[in-house]
Amino acid sequence: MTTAIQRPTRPPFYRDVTVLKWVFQIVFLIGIVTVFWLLGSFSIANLAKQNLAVSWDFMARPVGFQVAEGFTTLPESGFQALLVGITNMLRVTISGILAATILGVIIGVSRLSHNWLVNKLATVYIETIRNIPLLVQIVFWGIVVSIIPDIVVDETSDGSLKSLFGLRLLPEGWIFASPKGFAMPWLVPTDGRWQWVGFMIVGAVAALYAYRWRIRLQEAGTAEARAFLWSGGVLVAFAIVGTFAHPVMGIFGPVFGFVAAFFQNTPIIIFQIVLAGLAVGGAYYIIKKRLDELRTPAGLGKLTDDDWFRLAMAAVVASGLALFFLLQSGPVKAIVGQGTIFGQEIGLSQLFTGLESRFSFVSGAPFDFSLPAIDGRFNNYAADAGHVITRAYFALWIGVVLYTAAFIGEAVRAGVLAVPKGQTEAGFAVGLRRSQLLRMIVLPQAFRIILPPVGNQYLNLAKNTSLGIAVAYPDIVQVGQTIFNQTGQTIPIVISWMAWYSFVSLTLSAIVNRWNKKLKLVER
Amino acid sequence: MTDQAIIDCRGVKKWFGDFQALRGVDLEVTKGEVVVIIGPSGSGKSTFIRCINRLEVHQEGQIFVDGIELTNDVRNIEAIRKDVGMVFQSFNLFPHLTIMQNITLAPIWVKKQSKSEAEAYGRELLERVGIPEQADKYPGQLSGGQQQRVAIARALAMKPQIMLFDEPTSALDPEMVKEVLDAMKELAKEGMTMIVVTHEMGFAREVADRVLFFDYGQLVEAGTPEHFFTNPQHDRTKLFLSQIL
Amino acid sequence: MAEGTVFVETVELAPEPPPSGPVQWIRENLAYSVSSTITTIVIGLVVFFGLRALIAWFLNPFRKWSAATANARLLMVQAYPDDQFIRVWISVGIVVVLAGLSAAAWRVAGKVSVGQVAKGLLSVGSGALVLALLAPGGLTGGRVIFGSVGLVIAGIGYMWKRARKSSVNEPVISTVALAGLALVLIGVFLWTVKLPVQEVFADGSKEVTNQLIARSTKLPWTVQLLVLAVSYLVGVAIRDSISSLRRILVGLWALSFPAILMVVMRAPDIEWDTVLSVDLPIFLAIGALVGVILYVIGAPDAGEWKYIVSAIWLVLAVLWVLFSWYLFDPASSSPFHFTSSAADVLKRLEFKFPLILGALFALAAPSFGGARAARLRYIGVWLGALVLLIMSFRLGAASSLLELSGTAFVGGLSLTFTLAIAAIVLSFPLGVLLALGRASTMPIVRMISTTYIELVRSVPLITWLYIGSNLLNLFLAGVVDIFSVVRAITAMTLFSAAYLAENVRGGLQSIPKGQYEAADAVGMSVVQKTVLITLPQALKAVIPALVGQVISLFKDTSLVSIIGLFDLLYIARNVIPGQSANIGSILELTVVAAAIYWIFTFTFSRSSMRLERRLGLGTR
Repeated sequence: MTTAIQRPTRPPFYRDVTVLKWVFQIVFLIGIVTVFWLLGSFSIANLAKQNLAVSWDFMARPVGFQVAEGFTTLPESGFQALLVGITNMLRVTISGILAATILGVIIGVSRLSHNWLVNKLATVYIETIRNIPLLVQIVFWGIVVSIIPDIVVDETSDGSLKSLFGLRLLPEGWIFASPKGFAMPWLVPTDGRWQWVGFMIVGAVAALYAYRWRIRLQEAGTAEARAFLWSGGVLVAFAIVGTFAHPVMGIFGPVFGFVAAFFQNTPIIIFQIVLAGLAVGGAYYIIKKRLDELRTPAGLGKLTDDDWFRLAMAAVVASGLALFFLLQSGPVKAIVGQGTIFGQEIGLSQLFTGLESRFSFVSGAPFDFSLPAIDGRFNNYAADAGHVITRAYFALWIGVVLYTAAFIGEAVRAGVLAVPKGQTEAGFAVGLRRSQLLRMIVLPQAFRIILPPVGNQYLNLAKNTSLGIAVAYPDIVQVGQTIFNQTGQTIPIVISWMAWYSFVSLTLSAIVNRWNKKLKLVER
Repeated sequence: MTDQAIIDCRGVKKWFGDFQALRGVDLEVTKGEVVVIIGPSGSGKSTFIRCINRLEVHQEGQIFVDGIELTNDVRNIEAIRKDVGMVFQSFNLFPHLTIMQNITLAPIWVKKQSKSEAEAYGRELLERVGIPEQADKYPGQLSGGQQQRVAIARALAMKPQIMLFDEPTSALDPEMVKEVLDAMKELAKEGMTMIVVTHEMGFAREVADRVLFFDYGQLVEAGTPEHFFTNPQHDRTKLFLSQIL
Repeated sequence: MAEGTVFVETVELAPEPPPSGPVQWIRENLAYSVSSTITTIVIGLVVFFGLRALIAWFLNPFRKWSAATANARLLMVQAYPDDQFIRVWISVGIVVVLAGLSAAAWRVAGKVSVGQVAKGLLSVGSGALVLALLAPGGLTGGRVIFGSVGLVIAGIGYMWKRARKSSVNEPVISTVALAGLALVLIGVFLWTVKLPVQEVFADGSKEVTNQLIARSTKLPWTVQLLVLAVSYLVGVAIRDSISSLRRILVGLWALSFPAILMVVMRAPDIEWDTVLSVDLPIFLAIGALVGVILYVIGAPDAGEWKYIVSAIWLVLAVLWVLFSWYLFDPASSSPFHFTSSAADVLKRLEFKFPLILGALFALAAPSFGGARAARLRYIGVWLGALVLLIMSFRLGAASSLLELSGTAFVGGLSLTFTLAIAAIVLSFPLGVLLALGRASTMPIVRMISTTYIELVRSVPLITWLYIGSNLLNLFLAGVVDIFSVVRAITAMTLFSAAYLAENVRGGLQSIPKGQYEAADAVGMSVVQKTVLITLPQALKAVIPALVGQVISLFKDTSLVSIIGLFDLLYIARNVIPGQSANIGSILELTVVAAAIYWIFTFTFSRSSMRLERRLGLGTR
């Protein structure tokens, strides 16, 4: 019965499952790399034929074009032009997400309404919007704005203005509409706004603590929570006090200055070592964690070939990164602010220097009230008066908001319907009121189901802002396209686009995933 | 290895991450023998029989099936899987294929039989498990007991030398257990080598040549059914039997 | 209590009908509480004035709707040559015939209850009546006619509905009869309704007049309607005698698209000399050679050497193609210098690609070969695939006989459809492979697939279209001057494949682990497991998601107008409003384009819902 246990005999390599698996993968990898290498060398050869070489020089050089709107309309360099595109894209994305969420929830709730008229109206809305391409809708809104009658300046009576909207309800000259877009009164930020924002960050922390405090009181049974009311009140109080007291934040100026000087003056080799150390330490942590997972009281569990691959990958990537940081001081210098990247000084040191200059006991209101104005021969809106919503911005914004709201509405409806009916009945059975039932039973459960598809819609909205190019909205795609029309540098522009959109997608999905996980943990 | 041993396991060990599922199992099964494996859940008995046709890969030790060693060798894996049939707890019939297609799929594509040949044998097998009239239905239209009998027929269609049963009756309603056990008894009578993981002690007592008790990834005790149920030796076995009998 | 109490004398009373009627309906749906009444009134007023303004806008005599109706042909097929226009009708005819046959083969005909029909009539009629009443302006003839027609239809519907209530058995109508009625109505409309049409006179002057729906299309459409009816009837007649009708139809649908696009619409100039002197010998030689190899390799007792031979064969064939394509152009000395045209490259590659195909067939041969009959069938499949491959090379290399004003022989709505169908069809295999790669147990393959999918999905389509239109020519310029539509199709295919892969992955994840184990336990190879077990189940599970993707791809095709392709939106937005007669019609045309997109997308999403319900009722 007791036969000796031998080592399993090894099959010839061409019949060994593990060997075949890795040979196949390596051949596959080589194939992919070859294809990319061919395509790359090919495009370089073709560029050379047009006397072009791939170069990022345009990032540092002045560009010869104006951007239609943004924090500056005359960018100093290609880099700044792309940055204007990025901020413009973020402007539409953030305001679009807010508006689409509100509208979407309204649509979703209307779809669930017992009122026939409301219900049908929401259905018609969804079926209309969802089935027409977003681009057509954006183009449509652009055309609609462009056929608004232009503003007529009445020459005789000292430049008093005629325009279309709102003049009956509001004082003359408050709101304008013209083919160029809309203009309305606005709180224009002043130099003091940075300190005020800093003040509000402190306020937000305070509001969070107020929220937790009220919840604790409720749990202790001493008072009803009204947590939202309290934290909102704290925030409002900070906003009001901050309007006058924000120069207090000036004390942080020197702190930022000190940090900036630290990044500027510490020898670069120290940062290189720290970064290389972080890379190695990270890999060490990952490998150790993995090995610990496989360790049993009796010793190390068996490592499969995939385990070996994973550990080797971590080690290789980490040592590659560490070597890169140690041998290449340029990128590290750029990161801490001792050098330049694309000819720009945009490192940590510059960031803190900027903060230092903005936190310097500037007094006065953080925002000024400002009315729109008309200037120039072509009746343009004055750039620094009131708030101007350009035609392109409006068309893109209303387009993505209406479109995304339709999808969010469907997600909300599906989520609420997915909460089992028994939950509602159980809620009533324990004596909850209808509002309590919604707030405590239905919504928390529906929210978990709604969040993933809505997160997806946020991502789609962010990507869909690129359609602004159809109405000449200067987002990163439109600006990039202008640059490559001028310089012929297609490949760097494409890389910038990919980098930016990947960054946005990863960030947004990371946020949504985090929320998702949090909600799931609460459930268990 | 003795000549008549059709399955020979030596020191088989297996880990799932840091959990050791098998801690060195030695077992020889002779041709025509019916072995029943019992034991508490998580004792490694399912993992063990899944190692025999390499649904799980054992990490240490050796397994020989019909003289062929189970290694990374693709040729050996192919050969052993043609030789070993398996019946699962949850039937695992292919839902998009008819009963006949389920049975003839492997003979046609793996054994390269002609369709008519495979179907003729398939019909014979359905006859043997007692559901000849269901050939053109889909698995979803059959009861659990019928599905499991189809699964037995599907495994037999490859004309295996050995049949593995992984808790074949655990997912069945009580009134359907008997029909499946009857089909298995029939098979045992015909001299098929069988390894059966089950909780059906009646079946073990009636059919088994040998009963094995697994616990903590080890083979704790083995013996004939009479010996096993009347006079267990090990404390763990006694405790287990007292809980289920 | 000793005595029982009897409450009712007889128990066989007829059930009382639930409270109904208009007042009851309003009380339940519009005014069930104070707040709901207020909401109804406020929303009702908004809807009232909104609709009124909308109708006023549509009926405003300043609207240039004639810009759309007069340019219907431009919107549909751009400037397809007049003398070759019969090709367009043949293409439509092919689709119509297949649609008719499929409707019969899949037995779409069903029954609708009279109640549903009556309800439909009632809502259509009352809708028309409401619109007529809402329209601003005086008591015009049009309003009276529209309103009274609506009133009559609603009245018929209402009476019918009332009448139905008294009858016990609900009568049903066949949907085929209804569809036939609809066809007749459409026919009548074709011959009676007048629309503004642009007429070009001999001296070149143009005039817009009201005519029957484009005289030139009246007859062809009537013929198409008849063809539809006839092909349905033919389908009904043959569906019981031909058992594999459905499978044949699926194949025909798959072939119809390339056939319409490359043969019917493009009118290729096929050089029959070359076909006989080059293609036929290539086909015979490679077909026979590989056929023999497949016969040997497919034998059940062939050893492992068969895999090694096929793998080496594949690697060599791929290297040969790459090197002959990229590196050693006979016409030049430097390795990266190219002068050849697309047609030349296709000609040079035409017998090297078949070798790659052959190697792939050889790799799969052990999985699908076996007994003699199976091997012969497999060789048949190989020969069929070879014919298709060589034919597509020949058609791609042939020049077109059409004399076109622009570069593309498809434009307008036909381009929109071409893009959508080509992208979804081509992305299908790639997407499935990516999904399998992402679900694979091999870490490097998984990593590459995941990177591709996530990178493509995080960047918007318009960016990919720019990359396609700029980089693709940079990659391949000189070798192949890729035609702008093909560039757009390539970009959309690569884009769509990533989304498709995610959908298919969902399907793969829905397959229980036991299915793989059962396949392993009976000794199936990886290829057999994938083709016979995994994919059929995964794809069936994701059909609704795939239809959703087709819909969104259809909408996304509008993006090609940004890179200057003449699709429906581009023609509506940039071409027609640019004509001197139609200046200032851009808003109307955008609305028309939106309506066209809406009709197709809406129809499609509705039918997908029906499909989903049908699948739900299936064997699962």
